Amino acid sequence: MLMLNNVTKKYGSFTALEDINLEFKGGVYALLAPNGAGKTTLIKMLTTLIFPTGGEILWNGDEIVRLDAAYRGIIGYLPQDFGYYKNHSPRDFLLYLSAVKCIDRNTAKRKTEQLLELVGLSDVQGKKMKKFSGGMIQRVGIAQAMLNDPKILILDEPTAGLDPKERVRFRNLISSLSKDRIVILSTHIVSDIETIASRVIMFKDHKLFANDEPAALCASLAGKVYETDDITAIPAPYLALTERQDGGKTIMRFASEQDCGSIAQSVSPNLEDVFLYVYRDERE
Amino acid sequence: MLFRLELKKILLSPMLIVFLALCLGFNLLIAIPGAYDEYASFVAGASKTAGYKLGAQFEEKIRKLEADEMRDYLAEDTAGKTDVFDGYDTAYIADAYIRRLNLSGYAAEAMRGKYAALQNAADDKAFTDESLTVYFASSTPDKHFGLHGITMRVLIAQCGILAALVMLLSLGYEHMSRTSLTVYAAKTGRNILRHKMLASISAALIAFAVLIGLTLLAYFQINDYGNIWKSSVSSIYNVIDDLLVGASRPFLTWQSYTVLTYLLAVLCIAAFLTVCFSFMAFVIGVWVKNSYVGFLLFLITNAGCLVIAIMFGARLPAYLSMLTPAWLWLKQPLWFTDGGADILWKNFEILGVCASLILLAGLCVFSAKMFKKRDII
Amino acid sequence: MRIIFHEMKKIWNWKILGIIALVCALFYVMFMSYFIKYYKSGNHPQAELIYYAEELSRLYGTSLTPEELSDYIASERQKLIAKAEGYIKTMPIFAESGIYSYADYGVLKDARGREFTQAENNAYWALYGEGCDYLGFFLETLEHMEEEFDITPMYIGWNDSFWGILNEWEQARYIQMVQNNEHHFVLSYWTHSNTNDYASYFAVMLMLAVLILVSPLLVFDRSRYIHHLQYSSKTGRKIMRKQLAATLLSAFILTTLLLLIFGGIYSINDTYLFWDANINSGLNLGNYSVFNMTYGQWVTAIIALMYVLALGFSMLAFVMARFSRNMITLIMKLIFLFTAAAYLCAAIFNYSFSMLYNTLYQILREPGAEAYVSGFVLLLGLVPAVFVTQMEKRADV
Repeated sequence: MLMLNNVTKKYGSFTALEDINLEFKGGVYALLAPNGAGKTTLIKMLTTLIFPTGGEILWNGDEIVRLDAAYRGIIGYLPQDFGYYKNHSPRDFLLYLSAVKCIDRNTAKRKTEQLLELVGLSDVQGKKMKKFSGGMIQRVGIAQAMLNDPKILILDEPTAGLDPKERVRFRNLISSLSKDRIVILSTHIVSDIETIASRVIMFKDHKLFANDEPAALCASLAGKVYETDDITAIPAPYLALTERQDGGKTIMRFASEQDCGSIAQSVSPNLEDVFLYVYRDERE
Repeated sequence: MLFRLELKKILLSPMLIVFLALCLGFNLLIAIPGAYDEYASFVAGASKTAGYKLGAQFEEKIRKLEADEMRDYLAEDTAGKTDVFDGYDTAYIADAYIRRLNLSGYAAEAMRGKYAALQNAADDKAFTDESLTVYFASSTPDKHFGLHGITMRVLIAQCGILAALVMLLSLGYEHMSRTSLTVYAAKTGRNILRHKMLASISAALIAFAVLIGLTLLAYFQINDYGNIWKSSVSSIYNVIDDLLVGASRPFLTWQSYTVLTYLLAVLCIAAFLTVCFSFMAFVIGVWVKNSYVGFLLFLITNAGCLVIAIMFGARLPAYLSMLTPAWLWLKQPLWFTDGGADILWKNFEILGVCASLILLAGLCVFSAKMFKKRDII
Repeated sequence: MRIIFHEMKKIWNWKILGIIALVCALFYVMFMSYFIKYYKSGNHPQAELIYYAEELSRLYGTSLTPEELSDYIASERQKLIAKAEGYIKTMPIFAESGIYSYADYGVLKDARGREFTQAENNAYWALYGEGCDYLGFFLETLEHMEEEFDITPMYIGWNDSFWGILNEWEQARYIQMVQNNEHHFVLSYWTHSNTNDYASYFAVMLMLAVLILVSPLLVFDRSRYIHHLQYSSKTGRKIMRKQLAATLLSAFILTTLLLLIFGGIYSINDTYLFWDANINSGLNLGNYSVFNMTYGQWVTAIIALMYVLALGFSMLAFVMARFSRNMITLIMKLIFLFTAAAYLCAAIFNYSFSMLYNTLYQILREPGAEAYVSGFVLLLGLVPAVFVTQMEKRADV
């Protein structure tokens, strides 16, 4: 079990995260927050790239910094800005990272082949990566994160820059990888996690705001989300959420603390509504 | 395994190969051709039949060579030489330095001690008639300085720069490729610095071997050494111009070196010096992410070491600065000798290399430890 | 212009400026401070000749006739001898070797061919020492000035070791030099050589500073993929021309700044006293400039050459940066570029325009070779730089 106890991270006088308490046991954990909320800071602390200025992060009761290589040996990490050696082939690159991950040569070769197959890059495994598309590079990224068969898989904005087809494929891949391990997924794209996340973690004002199942989070907005094609009829205050076109009409989705059931249609809230509702101040 | 992969990354880098080729081209075009000396070449040729030890036998064999101007000159040049170390007293060097530099206290004491110790070396050489070897006869100072003062100094400078660049390249590789997050979060993590350092040092030493090997191969193709290899470097002809003493004085080494063993010893120290430059670049590279700034700081650090001596004159910081890699490089032509007025201690090159290695290794360990605690943003 | 300004802001970043300041400070301490510290003191008879040249320029202006010099030497010698008599009478070191007057000292001096006793040696050198205010050097300098000042005309048609090595043009120029009385000036050899050495080192330092400053711009942008944004903007690939302009402007400004700083430091030496003195002065024997120029014109000319070279090398660095994928590659190229620049500066600024001393002139034997070669460097930078900016218009990114 991965546990964060009162974790704080400060950069000089700026507090990036404050007093975070979390537990990760198994399944997909989605870090959902707008840019700059501290998702990457948390992930970098979980990967020991940066160190907490307060509190502690424990893996099965031991401090991860003290566990050092033993801890890093059980994590797989795909950074937000995944870099690669342009003149390497995916195979060479994965073999190099296998060495960095202290995987023995034979296992590395076997795992590399398996993973390239899994991410659909077998046919280009010997080609230099400099001509790969963003999706292909991202697939190399997920493959390298899986090389050591990690107990904790940490993915920072893994679907950024992917087309819808790639994104669906990626989501399915993550879902299939989440059995028997902790997957921590950072994103601000709600659709990425709606179906696969077992818990959603939200930060607000650099503090933990919510840590719950998606359904429970949505339930917190139950009865507050409506749709209408005539927003002028809605009494203020309300929060405009999204718009969509339907039969030539613009349907406005909004949230209101007042009962608008008589003038608008009540709808079931989704994670996107929750996101927009929680971070409404940051939108303005 | 990781070491091998890191080494491969460096060695397969086209810039290293191009830089090596350009250095070689520079050496072959500029540094080496100027070293040819017709008389020296004749002496080397003559040594094949006459040997390298001066004396009646040598003179006899020279006389038997085909008569020409060069032969006559060599005969005149080598006739009736006596051992320069017979009755040679090194104390006058210490006295001159102490007087001219106004040394007192520890500096004066150490200077006297150094030359008292050198007296033993002079006595040993007197006993074995070491100075009575031909080397390159009267061309010796130019030839010796040509190889050890110019060619070797250029080579060591190139190797030092190369060592620094290779280290900075290796340390900056992940930053340049934007792979640092992936690599430092892996099991090896920041410990990869150890592999990078070893790989960079190995690459620098390989480059050292290639660059020095090929350059010296070309040098010795142009400059025939014949039997001169066996001659002593402390030959009567090998002298150091010493302004403070007011005259030239013998090239007096602490141990006995033939031309060959001296070259090998110089190469050995040069290799360690290359490692020192690697260590220095490692320390800078760990702290400074930008390799352009890092390399400039490497140059500034070395220039700073040189400046210490200028600023402090005949005081302890200046003497200590002589043990830094930059000064050791500059004083390369005097390695294994007393080193002159700005050296206080015996075997300064060994002392300097050892001290630099220990100090820089300590700094490397410290930097690596600090790096382990540093946020990677 | 706004873009050029922004590009210059990237070039002139504090980190690089700090490094340049450090490099220049170290370079100054290592190579250039000597020419300030020991110009007027510490080196003999350099200090004495400079003293007399300055005195003469104050008394007679920078031009000097042989008669004026003779008058000056006569009166000065009398004063010095009187002073020397005083020292000889009061200092026992002279009496110990039987010297009781300057005439006795002169006898000893004339006997320099034989080996002196320790006492004679001590007495002889005592007059050259600090205890006697270096009177020996002052007297010797007067002698040299007298001997050498008007010697230039005598070298016409002199032996083969001098006249024979001059070509026809050089011989004609030499004769013209004598006809113009270019040697009747007070510039001393030590002033010329001091400025020359200081300027040579400065030129090398300047090239280093310029290369450090202007080189990283393109590599920095490319490593961060900024060029993708630049090329897809309205300005598009024309930005490279602006970057080239920013590079040139930066090189020009840095050259000016460093000239002001290090020229300012050099003004301590007061060599501007000789600004109007001809460079072929009789006290600067052996220079023989291919042009009839004053010290001031010579200084101005070498400054102009420095600008030309700085601009030329900055453009070469620009081209090299365009073809460097990262900083290490760039550094490797810059090492060789700087080596070439240093060699070239040593050849160009080693007694520029001198018939006998300048390496470049000795190779090319073309008056103004220094300017032609500097111009060639400018072209060597300009042509590929323009070519690169043109080619960039069609390059795939």
